[in-house]
Parts: sequence; C-alpha cells; structure tokens
Amino acid sequence: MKITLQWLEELTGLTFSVDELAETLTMLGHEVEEISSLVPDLTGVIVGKVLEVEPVPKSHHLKKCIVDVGSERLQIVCGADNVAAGQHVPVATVGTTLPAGITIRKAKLMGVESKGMICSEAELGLSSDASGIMVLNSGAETGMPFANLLGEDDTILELAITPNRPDCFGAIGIARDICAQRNVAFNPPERPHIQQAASGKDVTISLQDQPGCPRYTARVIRGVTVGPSPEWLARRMQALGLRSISNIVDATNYVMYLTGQPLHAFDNAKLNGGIIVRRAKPGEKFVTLDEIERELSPNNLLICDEKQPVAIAGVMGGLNSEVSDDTTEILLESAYFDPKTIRLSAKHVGLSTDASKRFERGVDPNGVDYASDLATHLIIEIAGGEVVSPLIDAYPEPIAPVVINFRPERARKIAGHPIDEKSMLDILSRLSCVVSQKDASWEVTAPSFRPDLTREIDLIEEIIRIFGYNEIPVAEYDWISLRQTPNAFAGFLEKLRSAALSCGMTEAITIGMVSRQQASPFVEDEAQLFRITNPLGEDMGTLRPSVFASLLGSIAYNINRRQKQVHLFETGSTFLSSGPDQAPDEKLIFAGLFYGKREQDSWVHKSPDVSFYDVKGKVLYALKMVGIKEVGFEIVRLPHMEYAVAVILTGERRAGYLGKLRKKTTNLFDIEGDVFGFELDTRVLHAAAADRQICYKAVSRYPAVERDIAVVVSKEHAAGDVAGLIRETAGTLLQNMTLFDVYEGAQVPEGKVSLAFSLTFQSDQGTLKEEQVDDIMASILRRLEKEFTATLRQ
Amino acid sequence: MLKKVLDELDRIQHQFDDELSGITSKENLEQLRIAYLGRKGHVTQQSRQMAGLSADEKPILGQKLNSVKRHIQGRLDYFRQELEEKEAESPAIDLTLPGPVPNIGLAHPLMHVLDEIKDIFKSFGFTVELGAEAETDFYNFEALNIPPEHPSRDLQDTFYLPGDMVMRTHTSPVQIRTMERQKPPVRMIAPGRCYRKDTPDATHSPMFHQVEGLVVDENVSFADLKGILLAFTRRMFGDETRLRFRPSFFPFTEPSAEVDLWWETQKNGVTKGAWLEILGCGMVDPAVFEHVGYDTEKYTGYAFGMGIERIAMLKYGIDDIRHFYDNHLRFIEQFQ
Repeated sequence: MKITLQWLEELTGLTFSVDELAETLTMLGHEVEEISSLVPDLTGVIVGKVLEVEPVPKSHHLKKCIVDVGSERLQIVCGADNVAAGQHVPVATVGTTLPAGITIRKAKLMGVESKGMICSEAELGLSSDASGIMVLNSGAETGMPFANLLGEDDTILELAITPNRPDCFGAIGIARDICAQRNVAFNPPERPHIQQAASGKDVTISLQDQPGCPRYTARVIRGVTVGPSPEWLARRMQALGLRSISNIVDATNYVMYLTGQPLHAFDNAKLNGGIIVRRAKPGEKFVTLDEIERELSPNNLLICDEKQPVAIAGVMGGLNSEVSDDTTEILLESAYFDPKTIRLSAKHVGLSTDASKRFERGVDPNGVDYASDLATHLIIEIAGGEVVSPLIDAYPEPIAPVVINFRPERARKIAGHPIDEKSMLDILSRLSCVVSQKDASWEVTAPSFRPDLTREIDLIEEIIRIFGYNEIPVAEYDWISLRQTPNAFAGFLEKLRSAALSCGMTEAITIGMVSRQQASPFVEDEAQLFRITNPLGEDMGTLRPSVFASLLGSIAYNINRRQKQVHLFETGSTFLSSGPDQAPDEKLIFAGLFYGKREQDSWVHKSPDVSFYDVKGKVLYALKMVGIKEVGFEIVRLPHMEYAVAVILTGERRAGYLGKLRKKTTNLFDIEGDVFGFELDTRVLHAAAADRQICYKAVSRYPAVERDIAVVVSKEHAAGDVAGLIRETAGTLLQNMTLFDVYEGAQVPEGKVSLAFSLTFQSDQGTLKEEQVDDIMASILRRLEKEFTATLRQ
Repeated sequence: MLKKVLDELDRIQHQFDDELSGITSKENLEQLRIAYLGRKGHVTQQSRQMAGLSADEKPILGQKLNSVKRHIQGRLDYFRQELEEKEAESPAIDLTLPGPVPNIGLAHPLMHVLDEIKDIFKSFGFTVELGAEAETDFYNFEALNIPPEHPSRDLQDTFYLPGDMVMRTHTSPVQIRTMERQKPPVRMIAPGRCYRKDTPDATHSPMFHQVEGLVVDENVSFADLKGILLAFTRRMFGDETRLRFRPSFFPFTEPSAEVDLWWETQKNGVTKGAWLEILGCGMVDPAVFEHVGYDTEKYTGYAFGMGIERIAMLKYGIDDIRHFYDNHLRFIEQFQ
C-alpha cells in the first residue's frame, strides 16, 4: 500500500518530517518498506529552445541542433526523429546525472561536437515513453530548471499492511492510527451532500446470493464527460503507482485509496436493466476488462444485468460494460462482498487486484455509502454530470457492530504493566471504539471498519500497540525450572551428532526435495515415492526416500571442487509413501557418505582410499559412543547398494544398513569413484541406546595372558564365523580378541586365506596357569579343524 | 732460567685461551687437548725443563705446571660440556615438518548457531522438543488460528502434500503437539527444518531452519516476553544489545511483534548502524489455547520464532543463504 506524506498531512492536519513519519508508521505496525520521491532528482536539466536542426553528414538519423538554454547556445547532437526547430525541450547539461544513472559528458558523434542531451520522458524517469524527445509547452522559459515544471514534490511511502488491518488499505485508516498515537482528534473527510437532480431511471438490485453480497449500492450519474484527470489527481495516481486512465476511473481509484472501499463505474448505456448479484454457473465464460476470456465456476460471484454478467464481483469489471471516451452515463457501484467468497473467486480466476485484496480482507460494510458519496461528489466535480437516482441501497440485513466485554485488569495482566484506565479509555476512543464503562468490565463497541476487533484480546492488543511496545518495561526473571523434563530423544540426537563428528565425519545439511530421477534408485517401486502436490519445479518434486538422494549432490559438489577426502553425514528426514492420500512414512535418518581418501595424504603417510571396513568401523564406534555396544550385521540386498549389511541391534531391532553404493546410482550424480555409506533410523538407535544400563564391573587384578593363533581356511568361510567359533570356544576367560591380519598369496594355498587373531585371557578369580590357556587354545584349534577344516599356519 | 720457563708457560696459557675461543667441534677440542696436554704437547714439553733446575726451583715450576694443566683441563672440560649441550639442542629430526591432519569431522555452521541458541534456552530452563516435517493442515494452520481461505495463509507459501498434509511452514506444530501432551507450565523450544515455496536466491531457500519458543504459565505477560528475549539476545550478541519491539501481525499471537536488533557494521573506519529484523513474537492467542484445551482465563503465554540462517548470516557475514546447503568442505571448515 502506497501513501504520500502530503496526503497524510492533509488528512491529519499535522506536519511531519519524513523520518518522523516513517518511524511513527513503523511503530504502529505499518512497516515502511520503501521511501521514494514523486519527482526524480533532475538537477542540471534545464529548459531549452531548439533554434536550428540540420542533419549530421553521413548519418542516417543523427541531427546537429543548436539549442538556446538562456545563458548560452549549445550544440547538441540528437538522434530523435521528432526534434524540430522552435520546440521547447528538456536539456540535460554536461555533468548532469539522470535518474537512470547516466552522466552526461562532452562527446563527439560522427565528428560533430555535442554538449548535452535533449531528453525523452523515459530518460528523465517520468514515464516509460522512450519514443522520442519530450516536447514542452511553449510557455516554458528557456534556462529555467526543468524540475520547476513538474510541480511540488511529495514523498511516497510504501507500507506493508498486515492482513488483519483492511482499514489501513485506505489513507483514512492510516491517518486515524497516526492521530491515535499522537493523541490528537481525527476528523475524516466530511460526507459531501449529494444533490439529486430530476428523477431518472430507477435501478433495481436483486441479491440472489445474499451471503456472498450482504450489501450492494448503486447510483446513476448522467451527463458526465470522460476525459483526462485534472493535474492534481493525475499526480496522485502517479504517486500511488497507478496509471491515470480517465477522470471517472481515477476518481473511483482515488476514493478506494482514501477509504479502502473499492468502487466500480459501469457505462450505464451498456447495461440492460437492473443489477443482479448471483453465482456463476459451472463453465460460464466471461471477458474481463483485461480482454481475457475466463472460465468461471460457482466459486465466482457475478454482477449481472438482466441479460448477461457485467463484472466478477469484487475482482474485476467486464469489457462489455467498460467506461469509454463516449460514456455519458455511469452506474457507480459500491458494495460489501463476503471476504471468503472474494478470496475463492479471485483465486479461481488467478487474479489479485486492488479491489479483491481489499474485499478479501474485509471492507467496512457500513462505509459503503460514504465512499459512494465521496466518489459521486468527486466525479461531478471533475467530469460534470448530475445524479439522477437516489443511492439505491440493497442491505437487507444490516451488519451490527460487535460489542466486546473488556476488563482493564486483564489488559494489565497481559501487558505485565499497570496501564491506567484513563489511558486505556483514551486509546479505545481515539480508535473510534465506543466505550460504556461498567466498573471492572467495560462494554466496547468496535467500529465496523475494524473487522479484526471481535474479542477482548483484540482490544488489549490495540491498547498495548498504541501505548507503545517499547514503553512496557522489561520484566526481571527469577524462575528456575524444576518441573521441566528434558526430551530424551532430542538429547540422544545431540550425542549422536557429537559421536559422528569425533569419528571424522563432517556435518552436512541438504534440501530433501529432489527429482524423480534422483529418488527412484532408492526404491524398489516408484509408487513408494512421495510427491509434493505443488513443487517449485520437477527437479524438486519428490521428497527424498533416502538421505543419499540429496547428500550425494554434496559429495559431487566437493569432488568438482577437487576435494580428495569427502566424508559427510546428515541427520534428516526421509519420506516414503504409505498409500494414496495417506500421510507419508517419515523417518529421521542418520546417514553418512564416504568418498576418496581415508585420511588426508601427508608426507608421513600416503593414505589409501576409504573402504567398506572404514565405514563399518566408524559406524560401530559412533554407536559405541552413544551407548550401543551390541551390534550385529547381516548381508542384505538393496536396490541402490552394490553390497550392504543390515545393522541389527539388541531385541532384533533393524536400524539400517551400511555398504557400497552401486555405480549406476553414483553415476547419476556424476560421481566416478567408489562411494560407501550408511543409513540408520535414529528412533531405533535411541530405543536400543535407552535399553542399556551401565553397570560397573571391577577390572581384574590378576595378570592377563596373550596368545596369537593364525589359521588357514577356505575363502568360502566368513571371517566373522571363524571369529564367532573362537569366541564361543574360548568362553568367559576371553577378555579381548582382535583380528590382526588377513593374508592371501604366497605360502597360502589358492582359494584359502590366513586369519590371525590375538587373544587375551584373564580371570578375576586368580592368576591363570599356562596349562589352562594351552587347553583352551587346543580346543579352539580342534574345533576350527573340525568345523572349518582349518589348518594351523606355521 | 726458571723465569724464562715460567714466562713461557704463561704465554702458552694465553695462547691456549685464544685458540680455545675459536673451537666449534668436539674433534677440534680433542686436537687442542693433544696439542697442549698430549705427550708432545706444549705444556708437557715445558715439564722437561725440570731437569735443568735447582732443588729450590723445581717445586716452583711443579706448582706452575699443575696450575696451567688445571686451567687448561678445566677450560677443556667446560667447553666440551657446552658443545655437548649445543649438540643436544639441535635434535636429530626436522621439527619444522608439518604434522598430518587427524581425521576429525567438522560441524555445520548452522548447527553451531543452533547449539548456541539451544544452550542459552536450556540454561533458562527450556526443554527442546522435536516433530515431523510433514504435518497435517490442522497442526500447521488451523490449530494455530489460521483457518482455510484466510488471507494470512498468503503470508507463507506452502508446499502441499497428498492427504491434506503440508511440509511444515514453521515449527509451531511442535508447540501444539507438546501442549496437547503436557499441562502447563510449558517452557520449550522447537528447532528444526521448515519449508516454504520460495524460489532459491541469495536470501531465500525453500528449506530453512527455525527455532520457536513457547512459555505457558499463570501470569505470563508481554513484559516477561520482552525480558526473555532481551536476556537471550544479550547472551547471543553481547551485553550491549539493543532491541526494538514493533507491532505486527501473526494469526497465532496477539499482541504480535517483530523484534529488531540494532546492528552496527564498520567499513573504512566508519560505523554504520541499522535496525535489523531478527525475531517474531507475541502473546499466544487464546484461540490457540482453546484448540489444546488450556484454560484461557487461568493461563497466558508467549511464543517467539527466529530463522537460524538469518542469524548465522548476520553473525558470520555470509552473503548467500545457498552456501549453507552446498556443504563445501572449504566453506564449513571456516566455522570451526
């Protein structure tokens, strides 16, 4: 919403500096988004008179002009077709910077010297007209500053009006707020007295959809002359960012920007009989003012004459009844439409107009006639004509003002500050509320232009707002919280994050909206993908089924920037469909992706590439750090993984998987090398971690005995199974076991592998005897020989 | 005769002192020792003069010889020790070589900021609550006093999902769900990802992070809200922080306010200040309490919300929000 400083001064009778006004408006809740000047800065542009024009030799369009600028005669080369001797023109002298940012310098064009520029309206920032130079009225005095011709400057403020304040979509509403804040009386423009000339046509109004249109008024003005607006009105239109169209249209727009009430003028000669307000029929077609044919539905409310629709109510008028230069008789509409109806209607036709914006927020149902009177008065003043009908007012069920019970004590409680009752009373009165005081509870009647005031809290807000948010002192706090129970899951996630960081993974955040192509490798069936109904674009139309679907993008981003070790993790949601029109299956997943080197290369150590085992080690260690010590693995097949193992926690909880991504998947993200990764469900991890009770066990005082064993087994046997058998056979005396070597090659027969374990035995009962450990080692070997046909490696 | 020998020994001692000062290695020192105290050394040679001296003179020369030998030996010992110490100080390895980088993960700058915010509110006795990102229309809008077809829905462009669901446009649904679960007092913050249908540019992203806070109890007032936010921003941005509360509109709070922070920047030695919008807040609208069955007469409350990206950009001087989601390692490592 645009407003000008002068206009607010006229309406309030106050004077402001720009900064002061901007501050006042901002602190009233009408944020000032932009401040600009009506007249652009045109210092250096003066009026000149063209004396001579002759073509520049060898040029198709350039002309050498001699221009009298009062103090001297300038030679200026000009390219415009319309330049001619005798014209008065705006001349930008050397050194002038025009609004578009161009600075005028001495120049030579086709060998001809040029000192200055004859300007078009576009170059001066006055309009978009760049078709030729601007030709001035011949009365303009040569040498005078061009800006003097543009009239008085004004300051334009662009305000962000919040949706609860439809009254501030009119200058009167803003002026009223300012006066309330300044504690001065506000008098809106007086209602003009409309004289009705000899009676004319009687207009009938039929409200077939009264819920959609509770009030409709019409007035016929005959004998108007459609023409350009007077200068003051045209200038105000320019200030408000509106195109000046004609005196009639400008007058209705002016009154809309003044009162917040949209008005529409029909060419009455083009109407066939009375006004009917009804819903559109399904598929009904209608051509709006912008010459676009629109297909309507019962969501649209229509204004019709007895033959056809003539406007989409509250949204846009029709081409068939538009005011044109030949119009002599108009029907002026001023109405109150139901906000929700207009919102749905505007949405259906995909239009958002000055009128629809106001109606859908709620105009003043009881100010409809006032706006009509103001507009009628203005039209007669600037377009002539006479009123030939009374104001025909269809308002079958007048909307009663809202009466609110208000307790000053409650206001003080919400504010946390003892605002006195006199101040509250003043504030409410200045906002046009009528207060009948009744001890502890007041009866407050809210004005009909404030649909946002319906409850006690709404009045409390108004009191605190006008009193001033910054006048309320800051409270001192003294509470401590003993009653709050921390959210255990949130705490677990913090621990998990720390664990991931300390295991050498860097934290990433990616946007989980991906393309179908990026999402599909991670599901068996595309029906499992969950789609956004109104995505930003197809490339962001699917919610990721796996964190990988977006995190791989960050791996690629880093590879493209020559990073050699990219180990990223992200904790984020994944989404799978649980059936048509069902809520998605959303999981918070802890995921990691690993590419490139295991460590950064250094002179000490040339790092190998990261491997499946590195990822397995990191996952195991991260889980240990969050209290999950029992972790099992089981081979699984997944659509996007070349190989993977499921991660299984206590109670057969399947937390997720880790493994190597398929080339086909990583190639989709333009990644060449190997990528390993894991995905774990944080809820499952949390449940497993919560199971665990930390229970201290004394560290044995007795010495430990270490033994190594290396066996050769067929590669068909998994190392995990071999280790399991050893652990089982060794029994409770086994404190620790490490697989310290895996070897194939010379000295080991083809198809076999040597596995070397280091075992630590310790008892908490006493010192272990050598023979005891020998026995255990012997039985381990026997079982390995028997069950895996293992042989001891010499 | 004696005098001549004694003078010669004095000269030898001086000569030794001169030569010693030029010695830089243990090898040279040993050669020097041999040259003076060795079998054919200067001092040893002088001792041979003993034979030609009288019985009275012999002890005098003897004393002198001992004194010169002691002097030379003492200086040699001292010098040897010094050389050895010097050697020990220049060790066998090159200490200027770099140490390899350990494998350490780097935290994301947004999470740094979030951690800081969480720590402050936890110290104020707030709990941290979480919720799903795909929410029902009811929890994201209606329970927050945003009915269907209300103009305030225009304030947030929403991603709609099948089944009357949306990608949450704020973390406020978490507040509703917490209130449904828990009777007052409530003191919570809800951090998390939010989604709005904004085309990505330097200051907009369709996904971003918010922290919202909620306090419900008896006698909670606007003055309390101002108090907590001043305390928070002073912890976050320093004790000199100044705030401005400006009336605004949110469907779920009344009165509502935007909070501006006075932010100063230095450029070419000139300090420039401006009010920057940093938070939205207000007193919880009674309509919200009605949705969760709280007694609106007994309880009052306040709520506030802030964008993490905006605070991180302000704090670190980051000019483009999209940097946060590229996860470039060279970007992330700057914030450790």
